[in-house]
Amino acid sequence: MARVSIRIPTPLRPFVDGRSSVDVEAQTAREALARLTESNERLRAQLFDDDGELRNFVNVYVGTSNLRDLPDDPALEEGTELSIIPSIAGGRTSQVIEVTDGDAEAERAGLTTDELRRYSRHLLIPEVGVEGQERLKGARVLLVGAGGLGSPLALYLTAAGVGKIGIVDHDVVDFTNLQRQILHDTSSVGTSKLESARARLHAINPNVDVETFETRLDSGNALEILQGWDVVADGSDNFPTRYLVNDAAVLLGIPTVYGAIFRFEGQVSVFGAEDGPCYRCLFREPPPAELAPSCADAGVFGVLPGIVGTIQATETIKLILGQGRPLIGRILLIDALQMQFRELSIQSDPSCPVCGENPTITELSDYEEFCGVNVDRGGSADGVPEMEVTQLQRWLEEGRDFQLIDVREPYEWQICNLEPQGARLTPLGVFPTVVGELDPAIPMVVYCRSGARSANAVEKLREAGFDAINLKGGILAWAEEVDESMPTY
Amino acid sequence: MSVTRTRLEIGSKISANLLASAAQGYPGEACGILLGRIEGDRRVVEDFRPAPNRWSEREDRYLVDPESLRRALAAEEAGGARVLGFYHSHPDAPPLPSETDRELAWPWYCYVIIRVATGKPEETRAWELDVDTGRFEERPIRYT
Repeated sequence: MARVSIRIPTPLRPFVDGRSSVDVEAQTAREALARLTESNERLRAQLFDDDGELRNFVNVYVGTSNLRDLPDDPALEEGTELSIIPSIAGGRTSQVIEVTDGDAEAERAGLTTDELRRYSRHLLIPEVGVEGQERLKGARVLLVGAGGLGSPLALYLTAAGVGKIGIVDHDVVDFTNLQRQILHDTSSVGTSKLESARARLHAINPNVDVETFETRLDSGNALEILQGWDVVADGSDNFPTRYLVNDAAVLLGIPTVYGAIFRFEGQVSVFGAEDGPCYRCLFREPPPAELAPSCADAGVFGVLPGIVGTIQATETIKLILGQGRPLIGRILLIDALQMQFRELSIQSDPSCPVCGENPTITELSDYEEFCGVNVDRGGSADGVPEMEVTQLQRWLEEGRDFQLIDVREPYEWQICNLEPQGARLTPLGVFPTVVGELDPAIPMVVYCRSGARSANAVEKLREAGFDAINLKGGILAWAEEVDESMPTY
Repeated sequence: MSVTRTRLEIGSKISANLLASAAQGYPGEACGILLGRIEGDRRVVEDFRPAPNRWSEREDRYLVDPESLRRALAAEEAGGARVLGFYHSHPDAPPLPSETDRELAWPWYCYVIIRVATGKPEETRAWELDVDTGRFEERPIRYT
């Protein structure tokens, strides 16, 4: 038997009443440890596992030799010093843990080592950090539209690491899209926008799960498609869809990040958030159809949807992180030409039919009708006489006497026209002033880009007593069927 | 265990040397011992001792050489500097304690983690294990 002293490291001293050293009588080191812990359950649990083996994170030294290195348990000499030395270890794992910070437990998706690296610039920002990045990974965002606004939305949300992104679009990539829809490129012209989007987004960030909905959103499918998403980012380009998305999202209790563009002006807001207004609180009814031309009709400054869509992505990310001040109750107005940003304060309207105190809209209805939009954009107004482009070609070959009138804008005339065929430009806007120069005795064939504007013109001309006929399909049909070399737009 | 929250103080020169030492181990995990004195709730780091990393099987783990720690504790016993805690680096990862760090952590000691990104030390944070919650609590570092 030898009397030995065991040195206790600071963290274990509370278990031995604060002593830095404990003396025991024992023959071997293991016996000494057993003596030390025999009436000290808590200390034993620190040093030994359930099988009675010394824990990995504890080293015991006998003098200057590690007990683990000694082949057997040698006999101790009187006065030997044993030391309990903590084993200090650690390392990186794929799961970064929660630290005590007082925040409520949130649904978290652990980040992989690769993701910790990919998003490292996010992790360094206090407002994001690991917790915020995990929120992004667990978030589900639905994008309506993969076009001008949808492009920067999809690109930035993907780069930011949103876990699941859904995209609703039924269109094919068109050459004219490439001026602004940076999600797509020349090689994807003619293919589905969704497939083009998926390929590009996966190239940026393979961790993002892209779910596609190749369909036109309507009252029959909107609730089913929007259900289950955390945020809807509206990148649609027409009023019926905006109202549809707003109503469906409000009914489902999902916030919508709204963006809209027209030429050089843009708008961004967050609708349908708790205690915030919805789209209808601000715009109870859609504007008359003729004041709401599409990009094809009105044109759009290519970078503008880039600015607006990126701001929409910013707001979406802020909503997911719960950081900053989202545009709830505010609408941001952007004038890109003047480069001025204004903001208007908007309130929830208690009499709003969908989100007010007594909602009258409890299900989705016909939005096309609501917006007075003629769905078939290439078609003509009902009851207006029309002719096919091939018939016009025959009239020209036969040398018939008629007037060929183009009612488009001058810039459209610059792109392509039927001047060689004797067409005369009288834009719709100036029609009333020049109509007096037209001969009512001679029939006139009226055309525009696709046949819609000209149909309206023909209706009015016929009311005024002219023998006017609409060219079905407009100059686009001529380019497709008669003169393939003609540039279109 | 500790009712008061400890604070760490490091002189800027020592800090610079410490960061350089941590960066040297890149892309492996560098580790070592922090030495100094304790004044109330302040732990003043006056010196550090790099220790060999004895966890050889993996590049993403560290194990402070037990012999180095034994000597440091023996020196402390003989009236030398106090062992205040330990430092290790996280190559290309934020200086946040991982699950592994937590599982293997000892209470009372201050764990300083240094983020080394592509070979350059970039951020340092200090942590202490809270025995009641079993979680790490951050400790403030004051550079003097």
